[in-house]
Amino acid sequence: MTIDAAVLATTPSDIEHRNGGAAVAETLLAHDVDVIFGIPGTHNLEIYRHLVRLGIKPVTTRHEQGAGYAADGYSQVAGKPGVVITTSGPAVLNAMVAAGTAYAESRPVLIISSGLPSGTDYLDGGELHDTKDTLAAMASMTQWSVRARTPQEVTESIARAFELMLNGRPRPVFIEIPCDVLAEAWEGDVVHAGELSTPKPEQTAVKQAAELLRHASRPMIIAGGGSRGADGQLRQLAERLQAPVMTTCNGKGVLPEVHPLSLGAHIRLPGAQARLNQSDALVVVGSELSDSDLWEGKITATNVIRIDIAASQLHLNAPALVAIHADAAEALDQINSLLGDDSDAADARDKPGTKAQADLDEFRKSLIEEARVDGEAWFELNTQLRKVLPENSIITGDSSQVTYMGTVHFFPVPTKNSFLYMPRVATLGYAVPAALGAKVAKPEAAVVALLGDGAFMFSVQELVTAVEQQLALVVIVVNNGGYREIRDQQAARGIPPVGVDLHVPDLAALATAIGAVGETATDATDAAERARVALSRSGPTVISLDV
Amino acid sequence: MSEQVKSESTSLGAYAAACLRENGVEVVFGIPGTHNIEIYRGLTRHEIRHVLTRHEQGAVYAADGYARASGRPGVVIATSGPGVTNCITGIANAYADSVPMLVLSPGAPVGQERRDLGFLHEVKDQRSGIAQFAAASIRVESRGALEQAINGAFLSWRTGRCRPVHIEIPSDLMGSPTKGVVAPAWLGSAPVAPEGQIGAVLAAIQNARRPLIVAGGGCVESAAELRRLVEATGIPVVTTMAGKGSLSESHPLSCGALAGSSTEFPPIASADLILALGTELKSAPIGHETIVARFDLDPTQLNKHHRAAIPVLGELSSNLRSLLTTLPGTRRADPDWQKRALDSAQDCRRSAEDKWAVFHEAIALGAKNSAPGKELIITGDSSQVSYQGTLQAAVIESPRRFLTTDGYATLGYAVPAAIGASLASKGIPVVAVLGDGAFMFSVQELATASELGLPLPIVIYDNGGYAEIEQNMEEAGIAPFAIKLNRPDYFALASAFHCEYYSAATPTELEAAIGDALTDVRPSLIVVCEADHQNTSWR
Ligand SMILES: Cc1ncc(C[n+]2csc(CCOP(=O)(O)OP(=O)(O)O)c2C)c(N)n1
Ligand SMILES: Cc1ncc(C[n+]2csc(CCOP(=O)(O)OP(=O)(O)O)c2C)c(N)n1
Ligand SMILES: [Mg+2]
Repeated sequence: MTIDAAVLATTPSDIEHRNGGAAVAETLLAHDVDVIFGIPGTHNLEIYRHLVRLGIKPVTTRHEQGAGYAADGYSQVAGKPGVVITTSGPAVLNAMVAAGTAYAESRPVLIISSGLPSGTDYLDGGELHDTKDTLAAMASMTQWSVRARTPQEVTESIARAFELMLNGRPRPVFIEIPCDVLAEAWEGDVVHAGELSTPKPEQTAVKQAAELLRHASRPMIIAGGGSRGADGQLRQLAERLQAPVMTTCNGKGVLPEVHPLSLGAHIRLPGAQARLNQSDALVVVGSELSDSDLWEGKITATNVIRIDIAASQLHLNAPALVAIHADAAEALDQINSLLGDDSDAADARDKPGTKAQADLDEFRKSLIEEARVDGEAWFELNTQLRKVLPENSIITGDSSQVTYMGTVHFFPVPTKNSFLYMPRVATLGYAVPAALGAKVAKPEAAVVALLGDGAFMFSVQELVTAVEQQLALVVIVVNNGGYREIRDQQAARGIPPVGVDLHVPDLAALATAIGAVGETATDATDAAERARVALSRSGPTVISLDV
Repeated sequence: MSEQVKSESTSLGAYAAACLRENGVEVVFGIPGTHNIEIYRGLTRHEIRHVLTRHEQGAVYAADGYARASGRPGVVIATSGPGVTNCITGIANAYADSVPMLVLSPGAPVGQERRDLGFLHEVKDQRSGIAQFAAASIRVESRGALEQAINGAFLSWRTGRCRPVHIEIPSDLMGSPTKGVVAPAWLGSAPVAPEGQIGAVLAAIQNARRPLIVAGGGCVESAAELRRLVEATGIPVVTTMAGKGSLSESHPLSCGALAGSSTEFPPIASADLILALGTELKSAPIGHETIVARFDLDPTQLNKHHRAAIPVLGELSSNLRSLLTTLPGTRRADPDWQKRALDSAQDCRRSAEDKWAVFHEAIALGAKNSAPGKELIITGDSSQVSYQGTLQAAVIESPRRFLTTDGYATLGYAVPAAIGASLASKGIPVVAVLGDGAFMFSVQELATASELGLPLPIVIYDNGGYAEIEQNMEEAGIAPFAIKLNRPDYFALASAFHCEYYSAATPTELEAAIGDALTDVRPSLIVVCEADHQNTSWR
C-alpha cells in the first residue's frame, strides 16, 4: 500500500497539522494497522488527532497494562503486530510488564509513546511525567528501544520496527517520540518496511537431519511457539515419519490436538519427557526448551535436530546434534522434500490403526492420567467446556492452576493460536485483556477466558473496556479463595499461610456492576452450559464458579 | 531494637525480614509468589504485618501512602519478573516525589542474568529497568551483602534525600541457610550547613524588602521550625503541592499551595528574597535580581532551575534552628508586602474556590463531625478534582495531610495510597478524593480496603471520563474521542466489593456521607456526579 500524503490530509486543519503525530498514524496505516490499544493523555494527542481520519480504531483500555496484554493477544490472533499507544512517563511504565511478556513469549508488539520535550532528559527537573530514563528501562524489556528525534525519524523507526517484528524472532519494540516532535511539521513521505531475507537453511545440516530421520526408529517432534508459521510443513513431516508431536504451551495446536500423532502440550510431565528422551531422532522446532515449559525436567535425548530462527536458541538448554538456523517453514520444506515420498522411515513403521498407533493412543491416555494427578480439580471444567464450545474457539489462560494444570492438558485445540497464555513470564492479569485483543482481532470467533480469582483481580478494570467495545467475551473465573498455588508452596515449605487467602468480591455482582452479565455456576457442567449460552450475547459475561 | 542479641539460623530470604525488623519495619505491602516465599517465612517469624494487595501497583502506591503519611519508609515485597515489573510505575513515582521506599524481590538465579534461558518469570533484564527509576537497584548474593544493602538503604533515608531502593536476592539463594547474629540497623543523621551560610541568610533577611518563603516537599518534617521562622520574621509562605500544609493554611501568613505552574503566583516574580526550603522550584519565574537562598539536603538541587545565591546544604530542621537562634531582633517583613502576597494568593485561589471550595468544605465538615479534633488526610490522583480541587480549595493545617502524585502525575494512586495512609496513621481519618478515570486504574484495591475493614471514604468525582484530556483535545482542535468512558454502576460495584455506597448530589449529602463513612467498619464509595455538581448548592 502506498500512501499519498496529500490525499490523506483531507481537511485544512489536518494539512496544517501534518506533523510528527501524522507520521505515526500514516506509517501505522501503511503497515496495515487498523486498531491500536491505548490511553490518550496530554502528551500524545497529536497521534490521536490523526487516527480517526485514517480509520485506525483506538481501543481505550482502563490501564496501560491492559492495552499491552490486549495487543499481545491481538497479535497472535490477527497474525500481525499489535500496537499500543501510551502517553509519557507513568503510562509507558504501566505497559512495561506487557513489554516484558511480549519479549519472553516472542510476540510482535509495538509500543509507541510520547516523551518529555526534547532536551529535558536527565535533568531531574520535576517536569510533568519527568522520568529518569524511559528508553533504557524499555530497552531492558524489548528487542529495540529507540527515540525518534524528528518526524522523519518517526516514520523511519516505525518501518524499522516492523522489519524487526516481521523478520526473525518476533519480539516487542518501543519507540518514544518527544511531545515537541509529535507537534513538529512534517513534509516527508511514509517509509515502508523493507523485505528482509530470513536465513536460509544450510544444506549440509538439512541433509544430515533428513538422513538422521530416515534411519530413525523412534522419531519425535517438539513444536514450540516458533513453529506456528510452519504448521503445514510440520504436519507433513510428522505424517511422513509417523512421528508423534508434543508441543510446548506456545506451540499448542500447531498440529491439531485431535490428530492421531498429537501428544498434546503435556511437555511439563515427567512421563512425557521420558518418552521424548527415548527418541532416537528428536526434531525441535522453534522452542527454547525452557525450564518454564519443562518444570525442572530436561531434554537429554542425544540425536536432537533443532530448527530455529534465533541462532541463540539452537543449543539452548539442550545441545543439538544438527542445528539448522532458518525459518522453520523453509527448513521443514527442505527436509520434507529430501525425505521424499518413499521414505524408509515411514514405511518401516506401522500405519495408523496398527500396533504403533494403539501404543500411541495408550500413551496419550497415560499422559492425561498423569496430568490428572495434580490437575484433577480442573479436569471436569475444561472437559465440559471443550464439549460445548465451538471447535474454533479461542481460549485464554492466566498464571492460575486452572490454566497450567487444566487447560493446557484437558482442552485440546484444533489449530495454532487458539490458546493464548504466557508460560515463561507467568504474569497475572493476562487472560482477560488478551481475550479482549483476540476478540477485536477476530470478532466472529468464540473467545473464552478461563482463569483464577487471583489473576482476575489483576485486570478486572478491562471488563469495562469489553463492555464499552461490546465484545461478547466469556470470562470464567474459578474461585478458590485466593492464591492456591502459592498457598500450596508455602505449605510445602512449612510456612504458615501468609498473604494467600483472599477476600474475594461477589464476582457475579461485580460483573453486573461493570455492565457485563454476571452469573454464578453451580458446577463444571453448569459453567460450561452457561458459557455456551453466553457466546451469543452482545456483550461480555462473567461466570463465577466456586471450587 | 532487638532486646537480646542472639544468633539464629534461618534462610537468606527470611533473614531479609529480620533486617527489616531491625530497622523498625512493622508493616509491608506485597504479593507472594513462587520465588519470594522465603521472605514470607521471615515476616511471620519477626511479626511483621503483611498487607496483601490485588496488584503490585497497589502495593507500591500503598507503601508510598504509608511513607508519606508517617515519614517512615514504605516496604514492598514482590516476586520476580512480572511481579517486580508491576512495581515500576510506583517506584518511578516515589523517585519523582522523593519518597523513602524499599522494594524487595527475588532476581534471576546466580549466573543466569540476561541469558534468555526461559526460566519461570524471566524477562530480558529485570534490574536495569528498575535501576532507571530507583536511587539504586542492588543485587545481593550473600548474607553480608543483604544486610549492608538493607541497612544502607535505611541509613540513606536517615541522612539524605529520600528515594526508592530496590534490592533483589537471586531466587536460588532465597532458601539457602544462614546463621548468625542479626546485624543492627545503621544509625546516622544528615549533615548541617556551616555557620557562615546561616549568617548569609540572616543578612539577606535583614536587607530584604519583599521576602517570600517557598516550602516544598523537603519541608514536611520541619513544620515547627517553619512556623517559628514565619512568626519571627513575618515572611509570607507559599508551598508547592508536595509541601502543602507545611505551614498551616489557616495561618495568617499562609498563601496556600501553588497550582501546577508557579507562574500563576505573581509574588514569586516580584520578591527580592526567596527562601526556598526543600523544593525543586521548577519553572518559577524568579527575577534576576532576586536573591535565592536554597535549603536542601541534596546538593544537586541547590542550583537546579535557579542558581542559589546562598546555598544552605543539609538537614532542614537543624539549619532552620540555627537560623532561628540568630533571628531575635530582626526586622519583620513589611505589612504592605505581606498584604500584597496574601491578596495574590486569594486571587489565585478564587477561580478554584468557585468550583471546589464547597465540595472540600463538606468533606472537612463531615470529617470534623465524626472525628472531632483529628485532622484529616486526603489522598489525590491525577484528576482535576485533585490538582485543581484539593490542592487549591482544601485548607490543610499540617504537612503529610494531602498525599498525591505530584510531577509524575500517574493514575490510580489515591485509593491504594489511602489504604497505606490508613495503616500508618491509626485514628486519623483518611479520605481518598479522585476522578472516575483514575479510580479504574486501581479498582481492584477496593478488595484490599474491604478485606482490611478500613473506614475509608472514597469520593469519586464522576465527569464521564478523562475530562482533562478532553479539554486538551478541544484546545488542540481535535474533535474529542477515546475519552468518554463507560463507567461501572457504582452502587452495584460497591456492594460487589462489600463496600457502602452513597451518592452525594448536594454538599449536605456529601458531608453526611463522609461522616457516616468514617465511622463505618468498611470502605464507602461516595459518588459526586458532575451533572449534580453544576447545581447551585455547590456555589
Ligand atoms: C504479577 C505477578 N504477581 C505475583 C505472581 C505470583 N503468583 C503466581 S500464581 C499466583 C496465584 C494466582 O492466583 P489464582 O489466579 O487465583 O490461581 P490459583 O493459584 O488459585 O489457581 C501468584 C500470586 C505472579 N505470577 N505474577
Ligand atoms: C498512567 C497514566 N496514563 C495516562 C495518563 C494521561 N492522563 C492524565 S489525566 C487523565 C484523565 C484522568 O481522568 P480522571 O481521573 O477522571 O480525571 P479528570 O481529568 O476527568 O478530572 C489521563 C488519562 C496519565 N497521567 N497517567
Ligand atoms: Mg485462586
